[in-house]
Amino acid sequence: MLRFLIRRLLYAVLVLVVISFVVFVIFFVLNGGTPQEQAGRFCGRGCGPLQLQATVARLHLDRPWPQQYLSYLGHLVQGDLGVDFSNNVPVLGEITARLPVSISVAVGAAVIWLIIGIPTGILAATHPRSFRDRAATVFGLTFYSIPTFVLGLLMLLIFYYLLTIKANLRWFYGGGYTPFTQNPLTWAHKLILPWFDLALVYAAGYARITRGSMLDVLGEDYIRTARAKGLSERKVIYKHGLRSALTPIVTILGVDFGILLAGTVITEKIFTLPGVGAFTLEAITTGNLPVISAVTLLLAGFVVIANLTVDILYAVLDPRVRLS
Amino acid sequence: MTQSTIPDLLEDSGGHFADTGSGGGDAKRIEGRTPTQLALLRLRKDKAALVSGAVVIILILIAIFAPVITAIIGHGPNTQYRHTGLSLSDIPVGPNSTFLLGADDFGRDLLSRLVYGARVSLFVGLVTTAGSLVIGVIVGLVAGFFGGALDTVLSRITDIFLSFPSLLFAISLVGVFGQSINLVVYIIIAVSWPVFMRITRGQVLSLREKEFVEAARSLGSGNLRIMFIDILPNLVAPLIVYSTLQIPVNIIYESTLSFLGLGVKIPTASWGDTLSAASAFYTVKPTFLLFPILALLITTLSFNILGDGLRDAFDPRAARTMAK
Repeated sequence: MLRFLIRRLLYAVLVLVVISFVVFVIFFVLNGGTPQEQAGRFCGRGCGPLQLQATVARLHLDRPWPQQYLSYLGHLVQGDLGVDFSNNVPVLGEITARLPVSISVAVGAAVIWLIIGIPTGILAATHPRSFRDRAATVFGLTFYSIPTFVLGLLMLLIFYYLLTIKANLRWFYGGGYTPFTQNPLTWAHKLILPWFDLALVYAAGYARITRGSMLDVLGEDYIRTARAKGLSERKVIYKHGLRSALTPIVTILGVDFGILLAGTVITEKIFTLPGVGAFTLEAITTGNLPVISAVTLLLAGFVVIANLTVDILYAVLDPRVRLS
Repeated sequence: MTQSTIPDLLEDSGGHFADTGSGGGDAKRIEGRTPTQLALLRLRKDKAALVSGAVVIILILIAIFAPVITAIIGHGPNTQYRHTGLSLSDIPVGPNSTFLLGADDFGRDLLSRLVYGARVSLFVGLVTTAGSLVIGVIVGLVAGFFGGALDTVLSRITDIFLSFPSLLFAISLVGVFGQSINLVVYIIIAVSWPVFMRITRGQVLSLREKEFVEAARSLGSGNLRIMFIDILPNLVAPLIVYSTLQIPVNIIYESTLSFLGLGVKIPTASWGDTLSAASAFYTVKPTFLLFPILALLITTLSFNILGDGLRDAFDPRAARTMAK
């Protein structure tokens, strides 16, 4: 297990370095131009010649790109992700201040999609071709074919416009955010629509995956053995079946973490949540490159760490993985 | 060759039975049908797929004849009618006799915008699907046919593209290069070619072991000839099906990018961009939001149902599953 952990950690570090290089190439090499022009993009429009010169020196823009990359990597290791030129504040602080919003959206949605998706899949698998199975399939088809942002807009139309404005039933918020520390109930209340918007699309997919995986597992010999030795059906399904059926789902969850982050960008825009995604989209309209590059790097780093966590979880769930 | 022998054989046996007197001399002539004919026959019975196919054709016609349609409507897609299209407080008007679907936030005719938006959606959907089809098929053919280390390397590269958080990538590229339809096309191709690579590779892995490949090789065919003349035609049916299912996925991707302000450049009409503008007005003008949603849902649903129908027709053994 220890060797597996070390190997996996080294691999994650390698991937992080590769990602930092790709981001560097996109933002510094492909971007092109003279050192002064490049400095202008990282310093903002209001920069005078002196500030430009300082930026060139700070980012080593006048050196060949391998040296630039090393200095860039050096800044990153020290936690320096650049400076937001619109207000001269370090980008890292700005992102961490907005991170609780995005994490609230992402984690809440993931919890809901697992709570809906996995049991639906198990129900469908333990009663194949029954009404419940059909209902789960219809649920899946409906939500699977609606893109996240369209579902979010439809939710606004139905739950906010029709219910709140037309029928005057104040059940849902049309957007906005209250920090958890301030009022946990309002926090959850305001996030219900964003959570379900993100969750329903994936819950549908996870129900299908769980169903397929569970059906495969329930056909295995050891399940028949478990039944033959007189275990209750509940024990057979949840103790013997579910554990192996969940392994592919854990893997997919790791892959989907990136999609989840993308989803938070979309939901933050729809429900006007002041998170990292909304911050990034705003940075695009103002051409704030330090912010965009820092967010890209940080979120890609999150994806790598999520995949690492999932791989370790996977090794715990399935001992065979450690040996390969 | 087989097409002529099967009916011949059937006719022979029919004649044989006629001689022994067990069958009538007026035995019905059995027609030989190619697999394609059989598939088209099955497709003709699938009402939902036929209707969806008709809708798709209508949409394509709308996109092609967009200038003619807007000329009939009498409002160009980029003409702003600030006096008739907007209320005194700058809120777009709803559907009326001048603006059949109402106006957008700049006082432009919403119907004209949607008609031109169909152009962008279908253009991007078709071009990106074609592009990723070509790349995916070539990489998949090479990986599946040659196997070994080459297959491993190509498959790893494909996995990287599949697990890449593509929206992050899109955000950073748009941040650096600015919005453009070309960039949208490249990003979507980068995201969707792995789908076709996997399908092609999987099929080629089994096809390359078939006798007809051995026969071709013994006749002196080179690798290129075997790959493109002998193996590729066997893939046409699944590739048609998956292309039809990939088009709506790519259309949604384009509208998501445009919705987030990462897509086509304004003032080009795009459904995603219209949705983004409309989301600011849904509390006062819900129809402004509803019509582009309907346009997007009708389009993607039609392609999905058509694709499912094609799959059932070309591969009747495959279970009817969701498009993924």
